[in-house]
Amino acid sequence: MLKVSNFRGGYRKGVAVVDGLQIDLRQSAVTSILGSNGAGKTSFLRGICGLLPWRTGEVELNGERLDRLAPHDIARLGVRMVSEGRGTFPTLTVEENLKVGGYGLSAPVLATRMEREFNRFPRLYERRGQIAGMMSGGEQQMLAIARAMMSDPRVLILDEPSQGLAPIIVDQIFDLIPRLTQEGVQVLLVEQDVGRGLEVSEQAVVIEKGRATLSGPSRELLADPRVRESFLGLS
Amino acid sequence: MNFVSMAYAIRTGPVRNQLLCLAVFLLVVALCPLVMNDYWLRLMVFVFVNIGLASSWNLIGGFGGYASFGHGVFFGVGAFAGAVGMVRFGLPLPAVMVIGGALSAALAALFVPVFRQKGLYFALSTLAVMLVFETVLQRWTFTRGLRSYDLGWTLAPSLPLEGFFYLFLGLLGLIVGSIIVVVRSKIGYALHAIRKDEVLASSIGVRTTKYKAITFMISAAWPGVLGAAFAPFLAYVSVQSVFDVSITLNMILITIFGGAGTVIGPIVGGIALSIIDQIAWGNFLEYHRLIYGALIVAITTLHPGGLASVFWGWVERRRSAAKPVPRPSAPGHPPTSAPRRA
Amino acid sequence: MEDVLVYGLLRGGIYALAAFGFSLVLGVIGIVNFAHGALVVFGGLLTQYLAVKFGVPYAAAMIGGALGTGLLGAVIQRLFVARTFTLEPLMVLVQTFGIATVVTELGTLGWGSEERMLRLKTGLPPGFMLGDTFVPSFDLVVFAVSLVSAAVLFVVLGRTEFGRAIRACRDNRESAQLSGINLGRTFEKTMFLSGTWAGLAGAMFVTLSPVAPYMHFSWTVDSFLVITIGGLGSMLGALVGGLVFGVLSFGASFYAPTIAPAITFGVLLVFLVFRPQGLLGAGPAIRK
Ligand SMILES: Nc1ncnc2c1ncn2[C@@H]1O[C@H](COP(=O)(O)OP(=O)(O)OP(=O)(O)O)[C@@H](O)[C@H]1O
Ligand SMILES: [Mg+2]
Repeated sequence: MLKVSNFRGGYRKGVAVVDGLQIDLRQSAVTSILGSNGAGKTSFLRGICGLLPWRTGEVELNGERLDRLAPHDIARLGVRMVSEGRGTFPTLTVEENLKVGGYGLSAPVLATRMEREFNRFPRLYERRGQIAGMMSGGEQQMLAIARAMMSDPRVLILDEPSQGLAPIIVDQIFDLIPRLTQEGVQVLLVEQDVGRGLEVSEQAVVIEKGRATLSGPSRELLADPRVRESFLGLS
Repeated sequence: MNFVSMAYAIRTGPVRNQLLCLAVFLLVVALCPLVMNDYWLRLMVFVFVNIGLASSWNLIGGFGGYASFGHGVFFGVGAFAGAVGMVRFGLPLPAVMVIGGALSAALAALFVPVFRQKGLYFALSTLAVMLVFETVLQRWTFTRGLRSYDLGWTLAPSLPLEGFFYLFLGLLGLIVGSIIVVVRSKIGYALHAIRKDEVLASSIGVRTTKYKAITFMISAAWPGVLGAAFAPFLAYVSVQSVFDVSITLNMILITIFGGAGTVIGPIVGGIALSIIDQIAWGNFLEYHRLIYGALIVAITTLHPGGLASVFWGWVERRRSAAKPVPRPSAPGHPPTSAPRRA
Repeated sequence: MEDVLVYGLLRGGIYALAAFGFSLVLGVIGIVNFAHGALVVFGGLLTQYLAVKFGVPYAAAMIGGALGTGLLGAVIQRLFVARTFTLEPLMVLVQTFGIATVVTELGTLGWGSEERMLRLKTGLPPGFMLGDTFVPSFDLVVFAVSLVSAAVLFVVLGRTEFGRAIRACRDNRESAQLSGINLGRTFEKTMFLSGTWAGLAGAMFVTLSPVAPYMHFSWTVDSFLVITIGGLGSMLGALVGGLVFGVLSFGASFYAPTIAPAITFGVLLVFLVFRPQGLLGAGPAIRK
């Protein structure tokens, strides 16, 4: 269970881009983070994964402190992020990308996990020998998710998985998220499409300028007039 | 006005004030022959040359962020121009100085295609050019390479020692003065943009290749002039003496020791290293390169900003302690005292 | 003409070996390692030292020399480059330039500045005629070994988890870390590989030609020329570039010894103007 409290962090000394955030994934399978451009969503996720130049506060996974660990150690403990813009390895093949996702696993485990991901994404199986850099955005997004799932993570962080994708692919990805949670992974989701993000999640946090302004069950936030006005364009 | 705010005012003030400071500094140094004997005067000449060379390197390396690893070539070419010009063609000193500078600048102009490529091509090409010149000059009979009848060039000193002292002091003044002016000119702003983010700079219309080439030519011309003037002072010029890799090593060390990308850096670095040289390891000549190499590694690894960044860091702390109001944005770009993170 | 081609190709295998590591470090860590040539020379002299001083058989001395050089590379990475590679490129360039100087000067203090060579008595026949060209069999064996070493490196990079991790770090550092790869360790291993193959190149070269500490910058520049000819960031490019460069430099010193280095540098300028991506095109973009 991921729990973050009093989290601050940023890129330059003394300038906090994320300023005192808390989240607790205990109660929900999918938690979404909402906020306008530049609110600090990506920075917060990077901070959890250990990629911010500086950070303070506590990050706990099942009682184990992550906030002093290096990014690769955090990843090995079961927190995996699919970055904004996917971050696949462009010169590696699909299979090699997946194998890197399962870095450190033995060959037989790697093989069964890879089969599982190919079942989940038959499209990837068709293109398994292809260089990732040559694939479409949607395929790369699937590859990035499959790569993260290779390690059987406990927490899967998705940073704007629908960015730049055709509506039909977006539908597929949002169908996928609840199915992932059935495998015992908790999802932390950042999504531009606030309506969909709230629909798919149980809990949500709205952040502005690095601070949490609203949080609560997604259903309540969907009904909240402030959310309806500033994010959904309704009133 | 206390020292801290004065230093800050000079750094951010108009070019005129900086040139004035330079003039005062030169005038004070110009009094040295009154109190110094020949040994010290000779030493001072070496210090002037070292600072002049380092300042030239600093223009392309420190301000431009393009390190030249064959900068010694330009000094060597100048020295050979001086030697060949004076001995073989009987030219006067001022003429060979101009020729030396022009030859070096012309050689630097050859790098235009290199500047169109990524920075690493420049660094390695300069190193390659140094090896090329070392080998070719050593084998070419026109320059009396080793294969020929003579090992090098012997020159009659054309000036008394005081004459050389004032000549090199004057050259130093010109070099540092020109750098002060260039850094605050259009070229300087272009260099700043290039060093910060070259792709961005060229996307907003800075003609990066042109400015890099101009800067490199200026930065090459001065060592050429210094080399030509140095030939009669040295009295003996050969490939071994003027193409040694330690000349390049010196320029780099002095610059980063004092602070790359600052006008004052090479001056402070040159003086500090000369003092250290005198008291500590002037006697360990065979370890000279080893010590210099080790110092370069130590500074880049531990404190890449050099002495200047230590000093300005201290000034900044004093200033912010004195008045905790936000610093007004300084005219001109702030000198880069510490290297940025990529 | 055929002579130049044959002898150049035979040397070219060694140039390729030397260039692999330079190219690898440039692509993965994103730095120009000015101390690379010092590693080649170090490998050659260490091999010669092991063989002459301790009477170690050549094959063992070669492996010892290569591994020792790899270790030196990894140490350089851990103690020095690891602290600076995220700074602006200028500082790493200057730093490795300093490291090259220190390694070379220490080598000179320990082993002297003179040129050394390791002559092996192999019992092989001296050679055979290929058309009008005499092909020395020892050089041919060295060439074959260099091709085998290249193949081993290709397998390590292309087929093992270790190689995959290195390529992942080259493609996308953050994603590699997010997949549980330790960036610092991977860079050290990259430097180890780079140094090992540089050391191999030196160990083979010292059996054919004299090696001395002062030659280190030539090796750095030659490695750079090789990958400029072959194409930055491509291992196959380095192999092709090495062979082409072997022929080129042998030809230049054969026909015009006085200006041979100027010719090879001229070729560099021609490449930069007309084919900056090298013979085999560009691999992934190199950041600096
Ligand atoms: N690498 C960086 N260096 C310095 N500042 C950064 C960096 N990345 C982001 N920032 C700054 O941090 C702030 C938060 O950015 P962040 O990318 O976290 O926002 P975001 O909520 O993810 O926005 P978006 O919806 O556009 O993805 C912004 O002001 C941005 O300018
Ligand atoms: Mg974002």
